[in-house]
Amino acid sequence: MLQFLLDHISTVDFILLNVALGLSIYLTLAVGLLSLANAGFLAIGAYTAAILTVQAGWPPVAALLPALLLGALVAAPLGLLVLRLQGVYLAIATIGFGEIVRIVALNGDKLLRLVSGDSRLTVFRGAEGITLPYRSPVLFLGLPVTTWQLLVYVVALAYLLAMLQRSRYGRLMAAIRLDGLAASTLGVDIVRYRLLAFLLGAAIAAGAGALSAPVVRVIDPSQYGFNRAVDILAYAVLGGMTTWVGPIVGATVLTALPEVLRPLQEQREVVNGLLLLLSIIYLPRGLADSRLWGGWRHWPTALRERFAGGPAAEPLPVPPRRGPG
Amino acid sequence: MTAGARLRVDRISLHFGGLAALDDVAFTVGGGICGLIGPNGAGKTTLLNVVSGVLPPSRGDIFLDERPTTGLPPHRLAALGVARTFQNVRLFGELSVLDNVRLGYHLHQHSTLLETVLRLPRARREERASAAAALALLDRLGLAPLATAAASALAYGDQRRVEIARALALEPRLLLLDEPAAGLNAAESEQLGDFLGHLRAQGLTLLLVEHDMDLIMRVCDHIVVLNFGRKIAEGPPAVVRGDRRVIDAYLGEEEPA
Amino acid sequence: MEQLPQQLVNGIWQGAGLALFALGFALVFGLLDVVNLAHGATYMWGAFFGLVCVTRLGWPLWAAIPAAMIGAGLLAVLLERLAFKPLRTLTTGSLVLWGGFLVLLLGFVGVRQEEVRAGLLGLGAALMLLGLVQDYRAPRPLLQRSMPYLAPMIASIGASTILVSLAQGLFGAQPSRFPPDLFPTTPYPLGQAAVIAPIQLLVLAVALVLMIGLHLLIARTQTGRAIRAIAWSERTARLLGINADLVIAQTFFVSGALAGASGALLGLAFNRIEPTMGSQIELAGLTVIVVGGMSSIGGTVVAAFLVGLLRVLGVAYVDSSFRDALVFALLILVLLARPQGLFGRANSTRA
Repeated sequence: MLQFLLDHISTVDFILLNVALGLSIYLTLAVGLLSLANAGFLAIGAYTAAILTVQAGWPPVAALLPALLLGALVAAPLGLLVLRLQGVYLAIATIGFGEIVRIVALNGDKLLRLVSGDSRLTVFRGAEGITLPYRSPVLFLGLPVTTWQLLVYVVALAYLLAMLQRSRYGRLMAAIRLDGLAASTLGVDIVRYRLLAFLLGAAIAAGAGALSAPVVRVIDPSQYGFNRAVDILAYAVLGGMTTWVGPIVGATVLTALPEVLRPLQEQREVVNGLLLLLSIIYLPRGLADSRLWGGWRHWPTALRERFAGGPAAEPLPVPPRRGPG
Repeated sequence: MTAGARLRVDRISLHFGGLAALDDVAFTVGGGICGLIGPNGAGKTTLLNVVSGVLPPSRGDIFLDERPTTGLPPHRLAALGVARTFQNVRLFGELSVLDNVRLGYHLHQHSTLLETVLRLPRARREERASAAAALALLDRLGLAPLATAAASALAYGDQRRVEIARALALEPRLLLLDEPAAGLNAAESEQLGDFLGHLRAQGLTLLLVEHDMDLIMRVCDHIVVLNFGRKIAEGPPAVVRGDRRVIDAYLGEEEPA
Repeated sequence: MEQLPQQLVNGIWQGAGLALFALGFALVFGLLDVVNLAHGATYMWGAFFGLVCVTRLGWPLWAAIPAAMIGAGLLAVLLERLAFKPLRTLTTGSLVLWGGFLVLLLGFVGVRQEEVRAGLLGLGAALMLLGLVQDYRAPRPLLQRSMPYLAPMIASIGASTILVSLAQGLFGAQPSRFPPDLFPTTPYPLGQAAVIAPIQLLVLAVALVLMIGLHLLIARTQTGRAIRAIAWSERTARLLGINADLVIAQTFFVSGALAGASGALLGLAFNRIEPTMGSQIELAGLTVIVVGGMSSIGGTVVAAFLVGLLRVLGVAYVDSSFRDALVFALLILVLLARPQGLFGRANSTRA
């Protein structure tokens, strides 16, 4: 068993990393925010760890705290600016943010040189990225320490989010997602909680980025663009967006599947896209939908609901909004 | 419950583009049950939206116990003791009935996020308390057996009552009800009337938008009549019922009997 | 680095091509509040359709471009039926269409033997046709979701991924080019400081014609009125007897045709057609519809020229890799400062 894990250790690491990222987007989706910014925060965390390791000789795990803080620090003004945007416009703005982070990382050295006047600065190393020096893995109980770090991070996150979901705050977030106006008339400050969810999600993603640095070893801008953001969203979509279990399932499946499908090299992308399409259409609540696993007898109800038009609650007869504000 | 609030609506106007949804509306509710009636489109729900902070007025002010609340966002007004229901029931469909009502207790729970995720004693205590209180409220309205059902699965009439329970969980001093009797039959309507009277006896101030004239006449201490965004009449039921302008406004509609 | 007047000229014809793309984007967005992130892939397939018509079928350019438009339009309709419509309502027709699609994909990528492959392709195509026809006639009740814009966006991303990989499989990842002698290449001088190549002039001309055509379609025809009705309220439109599914399909056809025109023309003008060309222009297109606002064709067009110019100037005067950052910065700026776009109307309801 242990040998199996060690043989596939990089897959295990990536599963853990992606689970953490899936949990980070779960938090924002739980309050109804479609944010594609987490790939950007992942990049911020990864670059922070990489730069601290290469330039200042820090051990990567020590970069966790700075990454968390930096993620939250960047997320705060960003959130204040963009969270008042509605629905799809928020998504677009966060896509823009992610791309800007990627472009800044790509041109980071040019910018630094401009600012500092020192024309020989090479910190970001542009498209080539920062490569962490190889260190033979330190094993603890048979598994590399880096894997343990990720595991502890993920387990802690999963526990905290599970506790959150069941609590008053979990209900609050669901209320904000389902009907923000009604929630506000019950005394819920939706602006505050949306910002909080956004900040926490950003910090979680950045922290994951820091822990990922020694695992991926090469930190370059192309890994953190729009495609990565979409992948993260896919974990939540496939696994289920309304429960903390969902992104765990989704991330595991979507990370492990390409490995399993390795023989189908070129078709992997098609399968990815197909999975995304199939899950959003036929499994709207994701794989972690309790009704799927509750037994065969639930399937007819679920199918009927899917065909006939879903649970009640007619939308209010207001003219649809035009514009992002 | 604590003593009811005094609501003063001071020359409220609300314009949507060129349309005046509300035009210089002014009245005071010192306590008890005030009915807000008028033909469809008269601006009754719009006025509720202004009082509850959902819409800011173009002109005028709202005073709660002589304290200006104009322009405050809904969550601040809720903290000040203003609760409301909606014309089209707005429950959180995917959540259980119990969770819906518990959300009304949100403001009474003070444990922080950290305490909550770490399951510290205060958080656990408050969780139990909110569940108990919500269940008690549901029981008062006869809805306790439905506590674990998904809110969207309930019959329409039950959903309305859950919404009222949720509003009451706030422990408000002013309760705004938007057509609570819609879809209720005569017997249910009478029960509702009794319940509202009971709330009044406990000191709650109510502002009641309704089309059901029997209920209005039976239960209200004071009635305000709107038409085309303007107040056209005001007074105790006996007076309003015979007011020529009110009868004219309802021409073709149900006469205040 | 060329002079400013030349940059302006470049900005104009590139802006025109971008405008076509953005108009298609805006049509669907305005109609259904849906960001169709597969629009870029449609654009790319339009370019390849045009290329194939010229290189494999030997057609002249004046036939290839309309063919590209029609091909891309049909692709967009297929996209709508496969990826968007099932999100609103799931009919047996959708299921048949999907079954056929999966069979088709299997035949396409999963099988080696020629006979089995041909059989699967045929079966898949037949089922899809059946599903399309049946689907069209059976509207069903609408499905509610708490984040209604999320699902179509994700579906379009999935579809886009599939479309791009299929293109990579068919055409290879290397850029393809139109044959060199297809179109006269000597540039026309414009005054002292600028020149414009004939193909660039073609882009501008075709774009203008199509824009006028679109305006007439929306403003003067029955379909246009139906589109506006559905954009206002799909439910009301259905209640009024408008066959929303048909109108939606027609809108997607027009949207796809515009993308196809843009793809074929810009692919020709830049002489570079590759499977990834869609993602580059898609982000610019997003910016255009945000900057332009949703209220008018004119607004989108002006915004497209602005963004086109910004991109050209960005490459010329700043740095090619910063071009996208500039465009995104503009996007975010407009979203924050004037969310309704430069030309949109502010809406009166609060978020």
